[in-house]
Amino acid sequence: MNEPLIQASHVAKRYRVLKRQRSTLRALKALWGPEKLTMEVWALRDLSFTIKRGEKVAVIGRNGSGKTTLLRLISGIIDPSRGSIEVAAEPLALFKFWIGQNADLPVIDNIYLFGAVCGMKRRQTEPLVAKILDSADIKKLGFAPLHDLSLGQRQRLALSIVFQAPADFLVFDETFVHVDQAFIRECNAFFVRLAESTRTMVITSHDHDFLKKYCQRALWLDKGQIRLDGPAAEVIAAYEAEK
Amino acid sequence: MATKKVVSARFASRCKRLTRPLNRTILLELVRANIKASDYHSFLGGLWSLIGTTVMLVSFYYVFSKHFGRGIAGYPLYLLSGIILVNFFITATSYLLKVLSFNRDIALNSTIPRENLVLATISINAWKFAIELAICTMISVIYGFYAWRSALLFIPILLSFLALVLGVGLALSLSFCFARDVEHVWAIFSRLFLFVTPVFYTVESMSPTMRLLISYLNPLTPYLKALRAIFMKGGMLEVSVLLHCVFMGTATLGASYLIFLRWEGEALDRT
Repeated sequence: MNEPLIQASHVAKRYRVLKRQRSTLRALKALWGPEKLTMEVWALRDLSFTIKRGEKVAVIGRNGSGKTTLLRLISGIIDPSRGSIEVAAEPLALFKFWIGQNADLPVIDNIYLFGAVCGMKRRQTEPLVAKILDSADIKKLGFAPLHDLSLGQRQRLALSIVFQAPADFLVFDETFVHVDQAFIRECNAFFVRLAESTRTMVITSHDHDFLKKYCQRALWLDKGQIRLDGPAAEVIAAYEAEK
Repeated sequence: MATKKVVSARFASRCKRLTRPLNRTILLELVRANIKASDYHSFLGGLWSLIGTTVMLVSFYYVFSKHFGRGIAGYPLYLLSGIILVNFFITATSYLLKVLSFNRDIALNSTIPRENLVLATISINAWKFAIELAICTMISVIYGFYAWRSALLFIPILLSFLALVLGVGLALSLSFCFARDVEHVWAIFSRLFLFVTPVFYTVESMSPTMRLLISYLNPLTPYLKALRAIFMKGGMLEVSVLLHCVFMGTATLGASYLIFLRWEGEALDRT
């Protein structure tokens, strides 16, 4: 339980952002001229922290403070521009619920597809299909093409699959916004089980009551740097006081 | 030096990730989903997809058979093998050209390896190509050219051809992120392969200079020679042609993959 799962040392991440809309002429001018086509934006600067196995950590901060970039680094989706980040296990990361779904395919095929993304083989997913459809409240829509479902139904489907996934390390980026009241019960049941388990979770959300309920620790990011790191209730209170 | 370090670190972490059993599950599901969502999963859909090839074969036969087809036994098969190889190269590379920009959301918001997205994208074209190869094999059997022991030659030839297509596609997909004009340039340039590859003529009918250019500067020529050796000469394939194929495919994919590992992050930033 006390062994480190994530060790970040002086991590920084830089993006190169286009100054203006790109055109071939501007690109050619930039090759020979003094004016560059892009500018550097540092999303994260000099972050050092450790997250131990079993910890439930909330990442909070204003929009553009670097929360999603940090989660992408933790998930191994992008590499740091400076420093190093070592992650001992690959997480099940959920950034946008529609990623890993194919709208042209029936719901059941999408369960297998998204199940694979969540770390489940076909034979593991197969006995869970009925449960997933029931949990997402789309029991009669198993063979309907996914594009016939509403966005809310697609979100419930994705989350119902995640709830069944055997992952020990979970990363969620604002995944639970716009969840309807009926489905919140399912979400709460999942997070109660998660909070009591030895699984690790790193989550961003603007729902502070939710974070205080299920996370022990919080990292407050401000302009790409750690402003405060400590018990979730204290960090969130300090963040809210400044707002 | 720093670049070398970055690329080798990425290469090591990718190898680790790509060889996990779970990654095979994701790749299989992506391929299955892509084929199922395409036209090729149904019999009629597959039939429609073959109509283009058939129309091309008939047109080429009527236009070129009198002039170029004389002295070539089984000229329709000669044409068909050329058409399917060049068509696969053109369509697969055109699909791959947009793989990073079309899948940017997935590449930046999921842990699905980008290599899987590339392989899943090419799977639809590879499936169609496999059906066309099976048809060529049947025609070759009917003509009496086919030798079953030559079937083993398909493995190195097709694997190295896939490597070539993936290599060219990866390079194109990176360049497309930096300059959108690549799409239009490639649309025109790739069509030229139908004429600079010996699809309807023989290399021997060309002047010595053209023969050298077509044989060594056109990456598709050795693969076509190899396929025709299987379909039309009972597998009598020169070792030099086989080595040429393997070298071309491995070198192209190797070089492109290293460039891809170095530039993928910047490319996704620009998309």
